[in-house]
Amino acid sequence: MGGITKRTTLEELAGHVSQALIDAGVNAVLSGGAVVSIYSKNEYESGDLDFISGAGLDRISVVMEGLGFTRKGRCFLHGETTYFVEFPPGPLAIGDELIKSDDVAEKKTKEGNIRLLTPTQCVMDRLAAYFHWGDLQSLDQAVMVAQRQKISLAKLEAWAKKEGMADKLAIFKERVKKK
Amino acid sequence: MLESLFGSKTAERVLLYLTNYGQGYAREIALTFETSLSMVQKQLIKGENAGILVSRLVGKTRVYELNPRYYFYKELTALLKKALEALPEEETKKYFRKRQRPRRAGKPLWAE
Repeated sequence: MGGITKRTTLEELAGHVSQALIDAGVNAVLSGGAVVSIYSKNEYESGDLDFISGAGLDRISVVMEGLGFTRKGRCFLHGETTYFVEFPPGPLAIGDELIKSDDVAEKKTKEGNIRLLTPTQCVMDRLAAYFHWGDLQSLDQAVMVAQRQKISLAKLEAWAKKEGMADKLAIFKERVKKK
Repeated sequence: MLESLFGSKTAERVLLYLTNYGQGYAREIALTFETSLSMVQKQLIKGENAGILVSRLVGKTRVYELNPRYYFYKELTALLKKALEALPEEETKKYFRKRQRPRRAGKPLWAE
């Protein structure tokens, strides 16, 4: 596997970072828009990678600096790529649902294994933004993922009901059917 | 009331303000409590970095609200609402009952 270059894609970068964190024993899960990019085959292009980790930023910094990143607050920048990596505060949760680190997906790439939200969790993550802020971009992203990946509708329905958002989930389901 | 829990009077006021009014921006919060703008800004940034607050730009103003996706959102808002209810009436009137309904631009304050 090569290093990080100007031609490194978002998925490749996620592979580099996630594997380096795994190797260092740091538990971190890729979430947010970068997961949408991966599952939508880049129909949605994210500019950053959000990893949720319970580890302290000082420990994470050591790993990231080893990959050539420099820290700016919670963000890490690299001279060879315009993508930036961020470590938003945890815990890893969607609404009231806490996601255990064993319940996430793992994707093998040439650069390394990426620990990331499952397609269903990714859809829930996007729908949460749609539910709370009416963000239509997030709704579109949830639809993109649902149309390309296998998701559990039963889990989505149970979660949306618990959040009191069954009516908004119906809009999502309509859009998924449309294509 | 919750000052010692949140670490400072400003932090408490910022959270109570956002719970009461739903959203707010630094200058507005500082003016309401007649406190330092930089201290309010510092608390807003701190809250956002911790994932407790979120913000968006409205024109040139950064407007903040409690993050409904924060894992402890329900518990935190329940605590803050309880604190708002327990405030002395005088304080409630002074800080937490600002006019929220619309007012047409140019309408005089008093009939002439």
